[in-house]
Amino acid sequence: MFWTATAIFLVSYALIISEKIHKTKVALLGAALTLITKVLLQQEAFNDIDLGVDWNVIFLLISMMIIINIMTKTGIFQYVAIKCAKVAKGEPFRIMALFAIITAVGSAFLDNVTTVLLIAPVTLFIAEQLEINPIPYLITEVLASNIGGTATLIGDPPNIMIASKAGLNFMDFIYHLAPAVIIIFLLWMLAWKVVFGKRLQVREELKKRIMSLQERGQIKDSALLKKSLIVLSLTIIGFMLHGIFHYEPATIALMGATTLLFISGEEPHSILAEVEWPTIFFFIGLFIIIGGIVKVGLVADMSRAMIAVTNPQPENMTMLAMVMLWFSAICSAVVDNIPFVATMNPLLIDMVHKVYGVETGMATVEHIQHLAMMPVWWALALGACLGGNGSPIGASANVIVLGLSEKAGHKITFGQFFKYGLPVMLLTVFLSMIYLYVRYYLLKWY
Amino acid sequence: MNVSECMRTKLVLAKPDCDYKSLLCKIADPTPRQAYIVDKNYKLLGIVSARDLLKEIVPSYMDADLARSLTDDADFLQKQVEKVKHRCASDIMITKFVFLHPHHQLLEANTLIAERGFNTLPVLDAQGKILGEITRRDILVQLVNNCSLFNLDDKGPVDVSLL
Repeated sequence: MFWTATAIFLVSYALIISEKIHKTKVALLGAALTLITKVLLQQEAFNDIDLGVDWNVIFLLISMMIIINIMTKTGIFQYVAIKCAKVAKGEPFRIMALFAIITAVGSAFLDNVTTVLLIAPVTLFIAEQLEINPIPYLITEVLASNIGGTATLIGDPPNIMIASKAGLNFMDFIYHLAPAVIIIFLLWMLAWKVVFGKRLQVREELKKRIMSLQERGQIKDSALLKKSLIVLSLTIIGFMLHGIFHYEPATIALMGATTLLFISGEEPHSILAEVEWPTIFFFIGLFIIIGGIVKVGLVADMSRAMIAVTNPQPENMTMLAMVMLWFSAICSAVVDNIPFVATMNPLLIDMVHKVYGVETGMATVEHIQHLAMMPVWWALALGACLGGNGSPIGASANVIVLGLSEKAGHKITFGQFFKYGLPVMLLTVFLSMIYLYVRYYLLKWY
Repeated sequence: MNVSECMRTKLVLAKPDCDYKSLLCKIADPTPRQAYIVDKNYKLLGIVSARDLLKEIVPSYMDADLARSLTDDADFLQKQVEKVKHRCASDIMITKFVFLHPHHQLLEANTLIAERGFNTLPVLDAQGKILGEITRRDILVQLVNNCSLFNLDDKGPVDVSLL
């Protein structure tokens, strides 16, 4: 059983990285093999909290996709983007910075791919009006999307997975990660000002073109917009309070999604058809494959190796947090961060049990959320999300924007992306390292 | 009735190297809907429709909502035409097309048009040489003729600008 599960896991991982076959096909085949070989029983795959599919993650993703699908029909993003270009008075760097802010904030509450899909066409349009190269703008938005998505529980799938596994709530992410993201974003923008401030210049008459754009026509359905904003706001308030009322985030999101579906008047058939089912089934397949390697003890072996390397102590896991941050970032730059985090989660849980042991008398949740352990979870989240900026294939948003840009006649080469993405990844992960060290190990501000 | 009995034989033909602006002028004529791209033996290589030409000047990122934000679109359109003027028929044409042979029944043409939404279908001989085309309008005219519908009370099109 051990070698069967290990072989399924390694081959699936290799195929996902190679991108020769669609990752959903690979994950589902891997899951089917895990079940057919009885590495994992179907009962365990569907019902076991530790080994099986994490339905909290699945329903949170589906629900947020429903809310986003309805909301994007209103045209709010395009409206805000054109309005911002006018607020910037057509100044190229100001537009770049404002678009980066919109993308980062959007990505913190919506899905990263959706955010860049909405902002990229407006960016190409504005760049055309200003007669400037859109590539630095598009790359900036991708980077902003991956940075912004790090800030909240719902911002990026790795965070959803970490929150579900470690029992962390929305406010935990706001309290611990949002400050890091704000600092990182501001310092990155300062660096960007130095890089692009003087390079981006346009003639006055081109700025006037931007000022003549009409943003009002972008709102397609103002009644739906009001309903969507109310439901999204209530859902976010629900996320903020879910820890207090002991609801899982998926319950809050499902309530928001069904309410919006009900009051929007949209046909469920079309809205549900737009849910990214390949992504959902990718998660399901992955959870089952990982469940297999947890059951046969491969994860426990990996955890022993991690302990040997980082030597975590019950009261001090500084080395583990720092290694986890850089290891996650580098892996996420070359591998999809979703399977990476799906593997790291059970590994860390196993490691926590080994470090604290049963003799401490602490419950499992107390192990997982031990003060010394918390920075390790944040390191994993920061590394996995920010690492996506390290390469053109590091995150789904990167791949999407590269495709859109090429279609519009502005091919972004791997080299061009690396030129901007890699330094930003290194800078942001370095800043994260300082943040973690100063906050948790120097100031002891948990 | 066979297709050959009602097909049009006055067609817009162009060579594969015909440029965008020339194609635009050829198709901008009120009647033709598409240009047939042929080799020196009049073998059909591809088709360029009015829609294909219009699609060329719409950037991939543009949608109707974004277009609405422009207060003056004349300059934008002119720039887009300038951008694609170097493109030629072989870059734009579709090369996978449905066609009819002259001996095919009119009902087959009608069914293809009704089922697949085509406006116009080319008629080719066995070697792929273009012989004509059949349009929705041609089929409608045949229906009117065959069913003797001339005496119905129809005053034809109305110039609404005079209303």
